[in-house]
Amino acid sequence: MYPSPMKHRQNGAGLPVAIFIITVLALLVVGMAQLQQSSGEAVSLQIQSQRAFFAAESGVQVRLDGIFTTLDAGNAPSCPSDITTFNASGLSECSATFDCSADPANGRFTLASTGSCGSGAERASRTVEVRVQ
Amino acid sequence: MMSFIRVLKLLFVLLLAAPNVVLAVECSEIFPEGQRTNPNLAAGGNTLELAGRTSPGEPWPATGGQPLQAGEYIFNGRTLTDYRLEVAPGAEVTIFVDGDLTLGEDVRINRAGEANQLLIVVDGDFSATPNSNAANKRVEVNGFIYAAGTITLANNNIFQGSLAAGGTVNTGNNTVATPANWLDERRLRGLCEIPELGGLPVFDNFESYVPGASIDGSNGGSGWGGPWSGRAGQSLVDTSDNPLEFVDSEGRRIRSATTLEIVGNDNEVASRPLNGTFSSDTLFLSMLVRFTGDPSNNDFVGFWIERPTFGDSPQFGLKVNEGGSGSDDFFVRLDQNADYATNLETGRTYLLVAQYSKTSENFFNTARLWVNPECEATPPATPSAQQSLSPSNRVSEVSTVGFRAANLSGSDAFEIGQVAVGTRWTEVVNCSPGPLVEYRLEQTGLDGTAGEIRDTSGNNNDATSLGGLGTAIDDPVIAGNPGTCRYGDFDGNNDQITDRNAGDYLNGLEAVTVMAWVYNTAALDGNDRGLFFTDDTGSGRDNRLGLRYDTSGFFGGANNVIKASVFTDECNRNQECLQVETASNTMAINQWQHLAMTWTTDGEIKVYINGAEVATSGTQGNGGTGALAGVDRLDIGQGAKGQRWQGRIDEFKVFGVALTEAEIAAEKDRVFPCEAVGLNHIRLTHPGEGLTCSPADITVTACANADCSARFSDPVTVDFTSPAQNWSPDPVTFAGTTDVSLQYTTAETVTLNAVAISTTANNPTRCFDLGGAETCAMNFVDSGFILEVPDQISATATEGTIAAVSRGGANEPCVPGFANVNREVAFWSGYSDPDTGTEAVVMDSEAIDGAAPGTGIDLAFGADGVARFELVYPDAGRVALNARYQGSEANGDAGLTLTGTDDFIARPARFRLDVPDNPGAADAEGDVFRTAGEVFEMTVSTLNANDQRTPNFGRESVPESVRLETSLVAPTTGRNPALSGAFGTFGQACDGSSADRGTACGEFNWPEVGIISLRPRLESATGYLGSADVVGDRLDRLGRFIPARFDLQITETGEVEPFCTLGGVDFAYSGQALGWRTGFEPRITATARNTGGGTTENYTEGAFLKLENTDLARTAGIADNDTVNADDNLYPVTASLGLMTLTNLGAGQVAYTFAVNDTLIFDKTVASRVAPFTPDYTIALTALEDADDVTAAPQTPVELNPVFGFQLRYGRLALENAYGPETEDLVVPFRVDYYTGSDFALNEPDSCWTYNTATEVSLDQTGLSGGSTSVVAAADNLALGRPPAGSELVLSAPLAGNTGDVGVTFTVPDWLQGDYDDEGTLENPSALATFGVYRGNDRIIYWRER
Repeated sequence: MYPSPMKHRQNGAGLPVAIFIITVLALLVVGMAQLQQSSGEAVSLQIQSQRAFFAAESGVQVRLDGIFTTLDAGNAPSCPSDITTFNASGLSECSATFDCSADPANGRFTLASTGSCGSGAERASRTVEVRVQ
Repeated sequence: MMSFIRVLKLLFVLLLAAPNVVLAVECSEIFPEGQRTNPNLAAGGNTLELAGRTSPGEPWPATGGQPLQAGEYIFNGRTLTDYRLEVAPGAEVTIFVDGDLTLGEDVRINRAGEANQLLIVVDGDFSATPNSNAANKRVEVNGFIYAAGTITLANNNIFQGSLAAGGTVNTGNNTVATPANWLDERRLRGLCEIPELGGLPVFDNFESYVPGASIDGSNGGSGWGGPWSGRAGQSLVDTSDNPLEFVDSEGRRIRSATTLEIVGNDNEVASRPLNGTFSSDTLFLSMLVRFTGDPSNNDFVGFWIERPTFGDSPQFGLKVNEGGSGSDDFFVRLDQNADYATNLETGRTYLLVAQYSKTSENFFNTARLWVNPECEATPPATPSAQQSLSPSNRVSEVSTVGFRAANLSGSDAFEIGQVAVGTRWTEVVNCSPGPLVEYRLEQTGLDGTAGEIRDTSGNNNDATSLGGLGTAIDDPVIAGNPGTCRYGDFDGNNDQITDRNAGDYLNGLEAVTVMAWVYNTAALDGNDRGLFFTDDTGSGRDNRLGLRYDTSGFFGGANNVIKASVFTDECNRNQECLQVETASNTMAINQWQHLAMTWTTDGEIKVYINGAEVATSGTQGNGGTGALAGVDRLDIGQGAKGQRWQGRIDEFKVFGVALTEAEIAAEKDRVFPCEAVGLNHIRLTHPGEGLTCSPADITVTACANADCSARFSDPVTVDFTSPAQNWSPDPVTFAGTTDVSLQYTTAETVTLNAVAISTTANNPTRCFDLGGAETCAMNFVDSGFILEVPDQISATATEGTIAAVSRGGANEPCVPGFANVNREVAFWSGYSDPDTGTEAVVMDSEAIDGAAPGTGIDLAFGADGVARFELVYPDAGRVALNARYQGSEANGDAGLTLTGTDDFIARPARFRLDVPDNPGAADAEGDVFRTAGEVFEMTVSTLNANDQRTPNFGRESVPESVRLETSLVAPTTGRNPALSGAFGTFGQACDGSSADRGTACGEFNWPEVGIISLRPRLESATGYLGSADVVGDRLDRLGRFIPARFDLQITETGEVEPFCTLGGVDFAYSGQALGWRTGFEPRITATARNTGGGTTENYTEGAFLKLENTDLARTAGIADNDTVNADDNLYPVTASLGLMTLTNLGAGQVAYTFAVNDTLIFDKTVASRVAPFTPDYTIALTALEDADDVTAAPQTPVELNPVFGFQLRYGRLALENAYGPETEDLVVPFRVDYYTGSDFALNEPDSCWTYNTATEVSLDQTGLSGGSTSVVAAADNLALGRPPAGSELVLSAPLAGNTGDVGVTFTVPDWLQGDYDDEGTLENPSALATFGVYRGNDRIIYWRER
């Protein structure tokens, strides 16, 4: 005589339920973390974008004075040189580059200033365009 | 290898030796204490080690510059002339001189300081070359001077200190004066060797121990190496009821209230170790001792060093009666052989000081002992006892000292009050100061003569009585002799004692004790009578040092209190300073009371009554710290309210320290021998021979001393006891001297005698005849001559008479002996007083002999038996005239002998005064004679009627003298103080050399300004030798006297008015012209002084005032004292001072007041932009000199520091840009800023600046497109730094269409300008006012983000 190997049939759902809950919770956590990260990145990028706008505005204001002077002298202005760094701490790691188109016939001049801040994934850039006479 | 080790060893030894440079000479050998020249030190190798110490040198400081502060200086060798250098008070200065130092004409170094403050070490020769006694040429130096070479002083230079040189020292004709204090040899440290002191000095006065026990184990005192060891026979005892006290001749003292009493015998009855082993060359020891009991031969207490047994060591102390072989009791010895001094009085305190020295040996071989020396800084030159020998038992080191007692028995007790051992005299002889002033009031016959109230403190602070003050002795505090003797008797009306120079010694004290015995006889009600006060009582305030009764205490609310007050330099002169009142009912009436007050710089007054401190119930004033000030004089017998003391004052003393209660109690009980208070003896002066038919004149004198040179001043009643009858009057009452007559009718010799019955004479009556022989025997005869010679003026013919008389019968009058006959009578004269002479008496034109048998003179006797003769005596004095007639056969009267004698007094006809160099100025414009108080010499000649000198004047037994009556010639309404000084001995010049007899010289001074006349008169009020007064020729004009100097006192330091006080902070702007606050202009009082420091009040009388309003020179500072500019220079100040106003305050004082329109500008520049500061500014009063060249030196320069009660701010007006529509008025904001040190901030306190925009604002309207604008007028003050509402700067609207920028410039005072554009210049503020609406930039077509 020997005991029947199947004397007590093994049954119950505890383990699968536990594994399911753990899996769902882990997915939730990972999801929320990613949500949090992307939200932070978005805010950061928004700030960089705002800074880039200011860099672009500043670039225009800085260079416009020279362009007026050139125009007043009756000459066609050339495109001003880029501003690679700003001294103000609020615009650190920002730069302004210029795109220009002149219309010498009627003495008009279009200046597009592209402000850029940050680098890599953090980089943001905005462009401001001014037409003057 | 060995040699290498040797080299190492050598190097090691060298390294060890190098720092210990061997200084060969001991420092004590350079300036040995008391030795004022010390030449040829190089010969003994005793020179200072100067290598590296005297270079590199610097130039000498400029003459008259700042006093040298403490420290070492190195100056170059040079020749100094017209040079002044002082040392800061109390500073110890050492000057090394690199090379030779030569002092030429008019050099004064450290004249104001003590010699021991200045040490000059010259690395070369030192010389003083002027040979002139002129004050402006000679060299005067106080200091200790060492020269490596020689020292050579020419004649007449004045040095105080000591001179030491490697070579010779030549001081010329003046000796070097002894300094007050000797140089501390430690000042030479590093130049010579200072030996190890072996634990000295040590000191113990036992006061820290509890009496009643053995001293064993007691560990007090200072410097010792361990506690006392005590054996049987000694104990500490309380002697506070009868303290040991040693007092030297100047009142300096050592006291002990706890003492070590030795009654048993032991070689080491008490001993104590030093804190080391002393091995140097000289040692001082002292002890304060008293012996009570029965001093019998060889009673012994010795103070030993190192070894205690007999003969084993140097010892000193008591060995009664020299051990049985003499009478002296104090000994000093090196072994068994002693030298002795002084016969001990039991119960008396002695100070014994011993010195043991090693002279050329390595053990003590010289011992000196001083008994009761003076408490000076150096030992008296001659010791009381000394021993110098090679002792059998030698001592060279000391580590223990102690006492050995032997042979004491019964009640014998040896009390030791203190012990001290040291290497210097001053370490073992250190007395408390005696009084600064002590008026015992022993003088009689006070008449207001200057200095008659003697100061017995030894400080010569004599005072003068006023108002007819007298002294009495009827009821002294402590009766008997010794006692307190005479006392001052104040009438409560105008009696007073005054010392006008008391400020000299009282001002500046940091502690004081004043005490006196008083006896009030006035009712207590309304009694504010004072013991003393120290200034004018006009203010009625107790705001000076003073002590008085106060019937109605004000501050404490008590009644009948005693009030004490002080004034110090930290108090306001016109306010109360510090005063205290006792509790009620401390005033006393009709009894003696001892009052004392003490004050210290801590600001505490204590009051003591009858030697015990009493509580004070009221204290006024919170000042009283600092130094005593404001003392103008010392008035005794008067209080702050001016009420005079009524009653008695005695033993008035002032100490420069605050005495303790015990010390005050001891002073209270102090007695002294009474001088000349007793009646020494009665003296009878008789003619030696008298007639039974005629009364004889006999002079009775009450003598105060043995030789009768002083008379007993109080009235005396004398009863004549032998012969018992026939005196008239009998008894006689007189003061001083009087004449009585004696009619004795029996021809025999009687012995005269008399006795004083009102007062007991201390000695028997003495008798002298007219010839000066001491004899009480007087011979009466039946017949003789009656000589009558009247007192006369010297060299004036005087008629005398002589009558030969004999007795007509019992009790009958005399009958003539010669009538109508001529007889030759022998006459001779005798000098009676003075008892020698040079001039002969001339009778009837014949000089008669000075001794028997005399010169025969023919006389014609008339019918009345009287012959007349003419007598001339060209000298002064009392002269006896003797007559003798010897009968002869020729005259039919062989065997008849008639004698007679009389004396007469010849007095000088007049006195003549002679003052060298007296210009005799007639008025204030006359030539100057002397400064007030400056000494001048005056000679008086006593002349007979022929204008020849009378050589015997002044040589009398009680020498006659001449006094001077001073009257003021000019100014007519001025003070006329007494002339100070007196004529010296007749026959002596002022310098003490002999001069013509009949002349005397005196050094006088007069302490006021003006011109006086002098009339010489006989000093004695009773006439010349009691005969008649002599009045001399008046010296009509003596002068002019001018002040010695001026004292400047800043009575108002000046207060600068701030610009604005309306805000919370008072301020002014830099660049503003600042002026004085009204009524607070600086004011300086100049007081004319005499040489003694008293005020010469006559100086301000009329033309004697020689000061103009321009005579006070001032130098206004050119910068602030502290604050620096942005460029690191002191902040510059521009002062503009106008003419001062001179005000004659009278009584010797004038006041200089600064002009009301003076301006001070703290210059405003770009560089002066600094944080707000309170100015610290000085105006130096550099000199005051009047038309007679009297100056305020050395007080000048005096610094005047005006009060700036506000901040000085760097301000500027801030004008802001503004914009607005052209159709409305536009406000341009402005405000006043000040620089805070880092930036500009609103100057909120400024509610003061007044502006008017209509006139001060200008506009530039060129930027306006059309129309115009203008300033809307507003005139107002700022409010809190901004224009108040309604008073802003407003530009009117230019109306529609008229737009553009308008330049606005505000023209402000320069103190509101600023460097707005940072260009380095100050400019007016400006701003832009913009009219019109902003519509963007027309040139920009678009602006967008792409």
